[in-house]
Amino acid sequence: MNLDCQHVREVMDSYLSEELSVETNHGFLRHVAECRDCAAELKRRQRVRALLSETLDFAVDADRVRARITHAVDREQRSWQRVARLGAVAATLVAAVAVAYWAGRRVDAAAYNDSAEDHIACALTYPDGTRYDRDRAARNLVSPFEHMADAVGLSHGVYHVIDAHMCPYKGRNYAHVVIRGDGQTLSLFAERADRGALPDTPTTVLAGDTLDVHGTTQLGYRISAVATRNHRLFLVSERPTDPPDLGQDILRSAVRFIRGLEK
Amino acid sequence: MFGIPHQRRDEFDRVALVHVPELLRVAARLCGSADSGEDLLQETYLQAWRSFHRFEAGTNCRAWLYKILLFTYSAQNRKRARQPFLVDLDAAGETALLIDAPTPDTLTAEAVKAAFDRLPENFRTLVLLVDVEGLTYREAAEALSVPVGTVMSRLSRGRGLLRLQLAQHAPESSTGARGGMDLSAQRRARS
Repeated sequence: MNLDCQHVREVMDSYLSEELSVETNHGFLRHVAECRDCAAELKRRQRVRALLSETLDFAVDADRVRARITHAVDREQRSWQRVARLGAVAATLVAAVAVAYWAGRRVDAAAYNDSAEDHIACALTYPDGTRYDRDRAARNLVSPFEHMADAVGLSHGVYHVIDAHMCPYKGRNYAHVVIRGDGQTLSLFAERADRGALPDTPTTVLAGDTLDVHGTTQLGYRISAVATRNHRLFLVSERPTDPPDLGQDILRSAVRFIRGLEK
Repeated sequence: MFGIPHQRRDEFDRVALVHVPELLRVAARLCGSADSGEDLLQETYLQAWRSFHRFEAGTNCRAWLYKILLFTYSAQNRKRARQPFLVDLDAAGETALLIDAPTPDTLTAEAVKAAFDRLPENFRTLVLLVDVEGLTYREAAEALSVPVGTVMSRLSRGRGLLRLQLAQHAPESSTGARGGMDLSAQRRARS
């Protein structure tokens, strides 16, 4: 490629930057070898670049600056880690509040029905004449309910505890105290309040306490239910006890025991 | 983003800090002083660290750092009271295109530095990156996030303007006009 002076001047800086194609580069070199003016201009431009590099050369200490940068990044990293930790704590708190709120809003819709079903499936199957066996109860109740039968009281007038055990039912884990007397069987169930609030029903106030007693009927059985902070208690019977406040006595004893667990 | 994993920090130290000497030189040249260059570079590396989760391992870290450096420099310049360009960008570019000024015979470091300082910011940065630091057109385009054609066009104008500044401030006898490419003749030829 033959280049004239004008073209050579135009591509001269690209030549210095090694950006010319091979063909143009050859043409450029051929021209400069023969043209004194362009060769001189090339030298002057090379000199400009050299002077630019020289005049723009600042005394810098790269090692010191590298250490300074490392230190700054360290500080930034620590700062982020602090933010991350605080963020994680804040997120956990928010989640805990949200879960608590959600749990508080949840309703355990099957609470009454399940207690009635388990009463039928378990308590009503005890043969006549079953007597309370303290050792058997001790074996079948687990912490923290192992003393529940004693705490509730083994005898309430004509009603007597005939057994106590852990009673898994439909994913629940009831502590189940079976009481019999006056021709009927009662069940006292206690469970942790993992499934939400008791469904709304008409309530009365537990005698001698401030707790509401939810009253309802499920599958033909009377259910009296009480909610403490972390537990639910259900008393299931075929008919009102005689005397009528006996059921309240049993529930009140159970509430006292449960509150002891919750302290 | 809550923090960057420790292994990323090791990688950052390995692939990014190795470029400190080169970038420090460029930063000082951009700012015109070693101290300002150090501050600019520290800010650049902090920005790089904050964005390091977006850096793809195995890609060109040097080019990525150049881009951040120039962006940071540009942002800092915007923050300061805007310095008016010493030469209007368009007019300067047009002048440089119209007149292919020959380089004066007599060149001094002071004259070259003064001519360089008088260049508009965009042109000065490109002349620095390519003609002083030796970046390829493609690398410069990547660092400035502009097309290669824009780099070539701005470079051509910037270099032309640099020569024009040198010619205008050089003693009458030292211009390379003897080569038959004097300014007045060019003006006449092109007008």
